[in-house]
Amino acid sequence: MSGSVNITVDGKQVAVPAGLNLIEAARYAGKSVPHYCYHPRLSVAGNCRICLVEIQGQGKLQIACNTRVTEGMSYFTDNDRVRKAREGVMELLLINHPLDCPICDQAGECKLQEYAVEHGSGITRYAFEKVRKPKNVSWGDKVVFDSERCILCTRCVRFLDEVAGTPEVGLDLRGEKCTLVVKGDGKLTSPYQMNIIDLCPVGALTSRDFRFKSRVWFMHFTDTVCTSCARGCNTVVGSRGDRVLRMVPRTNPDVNDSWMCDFGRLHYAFVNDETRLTLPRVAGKGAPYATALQRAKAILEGARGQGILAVASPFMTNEELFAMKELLDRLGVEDRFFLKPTGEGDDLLVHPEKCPNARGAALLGFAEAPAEWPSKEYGALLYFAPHEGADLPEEVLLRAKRRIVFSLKEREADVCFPLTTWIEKDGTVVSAGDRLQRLTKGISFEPTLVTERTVLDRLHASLDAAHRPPDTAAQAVARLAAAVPAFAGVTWQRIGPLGMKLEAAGAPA
Amino acid sequence: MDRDGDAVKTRVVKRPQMSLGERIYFATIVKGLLLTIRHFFGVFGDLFHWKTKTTAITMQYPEERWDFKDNFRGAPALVMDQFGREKCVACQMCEFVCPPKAITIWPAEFATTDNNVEKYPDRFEIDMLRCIYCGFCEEACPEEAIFLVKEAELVHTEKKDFIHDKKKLYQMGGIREDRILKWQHK
Amino acid sequence: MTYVLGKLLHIVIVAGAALPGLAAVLVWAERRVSAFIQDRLGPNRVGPAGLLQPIADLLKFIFKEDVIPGHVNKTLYVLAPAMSLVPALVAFCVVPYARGMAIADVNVGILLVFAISSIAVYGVSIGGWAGNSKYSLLGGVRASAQMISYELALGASCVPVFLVVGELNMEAIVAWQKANGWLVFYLFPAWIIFLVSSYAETNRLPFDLPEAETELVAGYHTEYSSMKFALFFLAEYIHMITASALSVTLFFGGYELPWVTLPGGAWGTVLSGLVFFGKISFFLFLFIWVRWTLPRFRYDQLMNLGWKILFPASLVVVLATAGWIAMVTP
Repeated sequence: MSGSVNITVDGKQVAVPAGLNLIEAARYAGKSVPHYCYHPRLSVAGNCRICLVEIQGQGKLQIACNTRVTEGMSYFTDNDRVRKAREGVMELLLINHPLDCPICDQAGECKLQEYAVEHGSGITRYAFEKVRKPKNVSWGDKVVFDSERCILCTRCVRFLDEVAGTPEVGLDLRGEKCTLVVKGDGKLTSPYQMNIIDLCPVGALTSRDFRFKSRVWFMHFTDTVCTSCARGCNTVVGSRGDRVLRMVPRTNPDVNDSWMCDFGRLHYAFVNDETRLTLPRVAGKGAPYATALQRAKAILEGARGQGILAVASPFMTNEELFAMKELLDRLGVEDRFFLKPTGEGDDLLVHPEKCPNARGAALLGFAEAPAEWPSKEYGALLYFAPHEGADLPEEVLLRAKRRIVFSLKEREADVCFPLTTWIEKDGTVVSAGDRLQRLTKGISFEPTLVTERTVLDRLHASLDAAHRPPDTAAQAVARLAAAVPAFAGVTWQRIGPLGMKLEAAGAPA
Repeated sequence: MDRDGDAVKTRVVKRPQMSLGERIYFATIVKGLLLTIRHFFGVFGDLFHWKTKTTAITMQYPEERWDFKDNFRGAPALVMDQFGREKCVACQMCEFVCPPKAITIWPAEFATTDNNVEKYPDRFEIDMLRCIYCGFCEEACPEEAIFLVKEAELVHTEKKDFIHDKKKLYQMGGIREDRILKWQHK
Repeated sequence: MTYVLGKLLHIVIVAGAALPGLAAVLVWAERRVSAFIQDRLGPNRVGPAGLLQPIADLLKFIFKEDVIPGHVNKTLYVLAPAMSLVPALVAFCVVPYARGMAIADVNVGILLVFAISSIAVYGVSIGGWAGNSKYSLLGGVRASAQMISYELALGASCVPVFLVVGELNMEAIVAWQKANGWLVFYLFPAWIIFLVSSYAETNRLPFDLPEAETELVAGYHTEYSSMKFALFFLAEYIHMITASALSVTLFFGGYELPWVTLPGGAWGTVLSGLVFFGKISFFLFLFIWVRWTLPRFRYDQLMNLGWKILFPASLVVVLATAGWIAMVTP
């Protein structure tokens, strides 16, 4: 399957890699062929018939998804015959499709809507009652199925069979009664089951979690990375009014293809938690940042002679960790650790490290928390509490005279700064396989919130007037790249939306 | 010359000269005074019912009110079907189309799945201080659930009273005959 | 002493109650008549037929915040409304509004009126100056030019009356008319000039160029609000009353009726007062009627009318009257 073949698409000659199907090959000519059942990462089913194209020399129209290019092939994706065929397919698909668009979560990102506009005739000639099928069927606590909306493309069937490895869904009955059914008690069990919601080209499968929360056209979408485990699946976060509403995978062949696990997908409730800390607290009372910073400075200066314990969090970005490293270097702190939450992994995507940036923390000189903590007494503790996983042991906390804690929720400390979550800041993390990936700011939970990097830099600047902290994330990455060999040559631009491999970091963690 | 270069014939119109009588204005002043006094006694006559046809065009608001035409665009309101059931399905098309962003809807799902309706507005608010009475919401509604009713007098002393909630909207809208009856069958 | 107290009481009743009261009714009448002329109803809610509307208006004026804008000349700004109102009230003092009931029955009578009313221009022009905005200033400038221009014609148009009667005392003029018939029948052209000039002197339409809403917002009182504005407003209406009273006294027989002789004593005073009131009511109505009929003059037209027509015409009337008297008098 190597080498390239010359083909003609709608009269335009292009050279495409051999072995492509006609849908992918048409992209090289700048043409798109509509498709429902075809998905580049699933096997070809060829049952929706919307991708019909006319191949020169073949009398009947052929489906583009299941036909591969051959040398000298010429086909048409947009001539009268093809258009007429598509219009016919659309009409048949819409004959029994209910008028659910007003209440359908898929509306706005629905292939059926899009193709009805692009390729449909705009009217129906069908004058009879529509077929009635089961609606609002629960497929467990994550997926809701609507049989009337289903166009029987079997993408969900193929995904669970081929990718998730749990063939639980199949087609039952025939003709107009044909419907999808789940094996056994009718509840899905796969930990990847919610991917079928994204795969479904229509609104037949909807998410219980996202159901009716917002129409897609109201939402703001941010390309970022999932932080539930070290895999760093590329995601698109949908938010409205500065609250996260859903997370869906973003295609990245080097990390997660087009999938992500249900755990990561649903793991955003702590972002929207209204009881989160939004202002610093000094000795248990709310205080402005200026006051808290002053107090923190006094604590750090007062503890210089007595030793300081620094505990970072693997949920911090590289830039934050670097800002912390700079601050600790200035204070001459020796004991630098980070707490790493771990758990179960699997063969597909889930990584046993339950945090996004343990590798980054290690690269920036923080040691994994030891089983036995040094039994020293400290003058001060600078502690970034991890979002989840094991907390710092009580006795270690008590060993420090004064405590500066960064936390999502309020904690007992001399100074408690609020943490920001991954969707509230720009930054980079080192995912599994030493892959450097970008986080992008999508919301600001509260206008009062200041990111940890700014807090650390302001703290640093208050101790050292010569400290000139970087402003934007791009500047912070440049400063990091200049100072740390493992990040040499890295720029915000180079990382790009899909991330890059950190060649300089050595062997994968 | 005109655009094609042809000579254009012009005619000088002489400004009319007023005669002495006209310049004194007396006749016209008296004429004007007679005209106004006729109207004066016309309305005067209304008050004492001298004649059947009234001259005064004033409407005695609030005792008398306009009879709004059917296409009058007053305050938007939600309507129920003839069985008193909610027609709105919280599709948020009105919220989307609303030019001044006056409408806010919090959709919700029915706890039970036995009826044919899945979605309803948990809260439905229209900020009448923002509303511009354009009627786009009525036009956009796929369920014929929101209408601009003949309600034009919105007077409150508190800002929050101008935010019409679901209760107020249904109270203003009342019941409208529905042909589809989605609650009974899809 | 009794005389002084009596006069004081008289002044208080006339200047403090009767004139402002009449002016208030006039405001109501202005609004209702204008409404009727425009096929409307006008204010008819406060009290019977809306008669208490002026009281409501007054309450509003009193309770409005008394704003003195930062950019004005404060002393003159505060002074101007009073300077406008006081001459208007003083001018009325020589008018015999009932038999023997002038506050000051002086021999120079009408001359005092002219002397006082020419002071009124200061209130308006100083108000316009103190307002310190272009609209106010233009209004003030227009007012002074207009009032000075028409004062000439107004004064000259009264000269024939004095020539005919031979006295300046108002009571004497009334008495002459009781004996010989209304002067308007002898001196109709003089009356017309007097009427037009008095409209100009009171800044009423069609001569309201000092206010001229369409051009000058509100002219000389643009910067005024609450009671200060009300004083300007009141002054304008009292000027109207004085002008009507003069018209009635000089040309329409004053408080006496032709052919009918009113009884003497207290009843005669009351009846003559009612007669006078009835007569000026007509002229006040005429003021309003004209206002809602005629459009405003252009400024050059105003000056043309004053200087080129009314002033020469009034001189001609004076000469003609003098000549006529010279011919008929042996």
